[in-house]
Amino acid sequence: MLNVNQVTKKYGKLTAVQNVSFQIGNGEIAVLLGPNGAGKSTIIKCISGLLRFDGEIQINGLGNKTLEAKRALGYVPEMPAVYDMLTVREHLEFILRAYRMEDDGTADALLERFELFDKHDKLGKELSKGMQQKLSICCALVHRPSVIIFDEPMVGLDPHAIKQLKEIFLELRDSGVTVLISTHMIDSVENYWDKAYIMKDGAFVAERSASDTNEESLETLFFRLTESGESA
Amino acid sequence: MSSLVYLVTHKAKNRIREIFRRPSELIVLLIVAAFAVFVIWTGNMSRASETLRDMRELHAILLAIYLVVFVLIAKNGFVNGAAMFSMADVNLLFNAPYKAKTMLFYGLFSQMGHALSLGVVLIYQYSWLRSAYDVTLVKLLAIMIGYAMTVFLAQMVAMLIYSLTSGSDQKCRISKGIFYGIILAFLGVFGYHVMQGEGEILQRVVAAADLPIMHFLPVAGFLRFGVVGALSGNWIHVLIAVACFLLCIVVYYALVSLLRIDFYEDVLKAAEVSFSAITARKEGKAQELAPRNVKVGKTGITRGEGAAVIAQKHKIENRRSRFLLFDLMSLIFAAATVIFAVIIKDAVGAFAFSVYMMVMSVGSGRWAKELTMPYVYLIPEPPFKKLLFTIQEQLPALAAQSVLNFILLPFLIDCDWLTAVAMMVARFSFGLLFIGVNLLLSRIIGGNAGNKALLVMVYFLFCILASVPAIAAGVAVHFVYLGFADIAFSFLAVFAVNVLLSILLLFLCRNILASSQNNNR
Repeated sequence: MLNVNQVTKKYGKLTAVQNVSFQIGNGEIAVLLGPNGAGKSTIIKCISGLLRFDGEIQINGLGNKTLEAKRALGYVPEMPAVYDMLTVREHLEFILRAYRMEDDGTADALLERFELFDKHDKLGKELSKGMQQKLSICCALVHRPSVIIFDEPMVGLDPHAIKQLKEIFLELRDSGVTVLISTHMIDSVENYWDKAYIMKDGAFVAERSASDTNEESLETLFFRLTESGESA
Repeated sequence: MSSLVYLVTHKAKNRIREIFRRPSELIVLLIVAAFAVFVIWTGNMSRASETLRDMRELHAILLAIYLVVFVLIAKNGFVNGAAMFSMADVNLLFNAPYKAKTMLFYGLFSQMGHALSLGVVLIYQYSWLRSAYDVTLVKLLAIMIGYAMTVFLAQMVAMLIYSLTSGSDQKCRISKGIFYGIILAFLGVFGYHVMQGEGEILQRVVAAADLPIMHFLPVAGFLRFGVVGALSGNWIHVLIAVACFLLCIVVYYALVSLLRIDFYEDVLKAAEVSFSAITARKEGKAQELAPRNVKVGKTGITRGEGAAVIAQKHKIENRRSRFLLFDLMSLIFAAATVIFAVIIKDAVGAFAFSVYMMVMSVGSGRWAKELTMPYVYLIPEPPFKKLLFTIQEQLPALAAQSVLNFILLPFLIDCDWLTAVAMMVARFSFGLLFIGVNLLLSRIIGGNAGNKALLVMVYFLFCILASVPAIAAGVAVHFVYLGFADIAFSFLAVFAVNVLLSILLLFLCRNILASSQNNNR
């Protein structure tokens, strides 16, 4: 479970995120939508513990800076983060060791799914940007987190990897994992979200639940709110 | 107006405008200018020493500097050529209807400006050059122009090597053999004459560097010949050197034309490498200085749990980067320290020089790269523990480099073994101290500093301030034991104070890995 309560993030005089609150339960997929510069990556970095903030963020009921919360969290950064001098397989071994976990076969399964298994001895620097992104996703999933946040995960992925990732989203939901996806590719998440939050200028301008009976599609709502200046 | 002239003039105009728009850039420029004026002023005030040093020493120093710069830049031709063009040039100009030769001239012209700007750093050597060798400002200008010409020709050679060898490992191997073979042959002649010479080691080195055959050293030899001509008023020598310089450009241009070298493809790699380095800098990431062909070797981390795995990972990364205890720069710094010690014949001066050279290299360790990645912040371990394992990899290298810097001194100058060992441990402690300063600065300013040059200046200032307690302790010990104790005790006092201060700095930065914003990244 992820609980974000009254979070504000300022860079000097600039307020990047203003008083944002939301909650995502176990087995729920939430999407965070918004134009460039809306504050999506900032709130995601606050949740992942990379940024300081005012307010409260809890992961499974624990403050996000605690070691227990960090252990429960998986994070896919916006820019793929891989080590040039580690092989693909060593990246996953590094994460498992850092999180003090045994490999139960998840690592190989992830490499298979993302078509990286035959490249397990390739160095990070030898991977294309798309493959680096796949590896970054594998690193976030391999320690089997119960809360996972994706920042623009589809960027640079090939169709096969996008298909796999979408399946993984659903599998994570079915296994009770809390999933938060930040994206501006609305059509890529249209079919499987449970909650959607639209951000603009550092604040939420709309929240929608999949169970809401509303004729207006998410895409139409998004453009109405972000281009016209209306609020929901 | 030609579009290329428009591009060059507007780029320059906007660069100047940018300086005035950004206060930090203006401050840096003013500090740099003020410091240059200060150095020139103090140089002129001090005038030349009554007993000038042998001018041939300066000639030898120039040969060494030009040769090292030439080799370091030209050897890039075996990997990715020369960064003569920016990515914007490649994407916008190469597709535009320009002749390839026009583009080549544009690249060479841009490179010339870059090379000249690099030569400006030599201004800061004016003060000691003036007092030791009576180098006037005009003479310094000649040295700077020689340096700029070396950089320029080295870039050209790098590009030519890449054009002729890229895509063929065999050609690359042969060219490498020829390139290093020529350099080693000259060094062999140099070494032979040093061994066979008479007198002190410095006199033999100077005499060997002054041999007529050394004028034929590629690029460095004839440019040093011309600069020495300018220093001594022998304008025939200057003309010969300028003629050689122009001949190199004509030969290069002729080769590109005759061999119909399609250099667009050849510069692309260097442009991409340069672009990714610039992008990485903008994103606050540190670039991996990896060899082109990495030998992966044994795979698997196999050891370490929790924070300890960070240190194990660094060992593997260092092995693959071929950085065991020394990299090329640390070897050059060590050689420079030994040469400096031989020239000044003073252990304390050599120590100060060695520490000064270390100030910049400490911040380029793998631990600094680690701070730019998210994992080290996400790992569920106490931040201080992660910090200790992150900087652990630097310590063996720091110790080994400290030994290398001073191990030869007892054989070469008046320096006993106790002093040499004390200098080693004191240098090691300065390494620890500078790591602490790096961390503290990351904690305070980090990646948010708008201007990297300003950051470097602040870093230097912090390093100087942090060094004061240890230096004061060293001086105090020296005065207390003056007359009956060795200078080694002063170095040991430096070591003790630096270690204590480093521990304090680490403690102050103990939470830096709790979140990346503690490091302002």
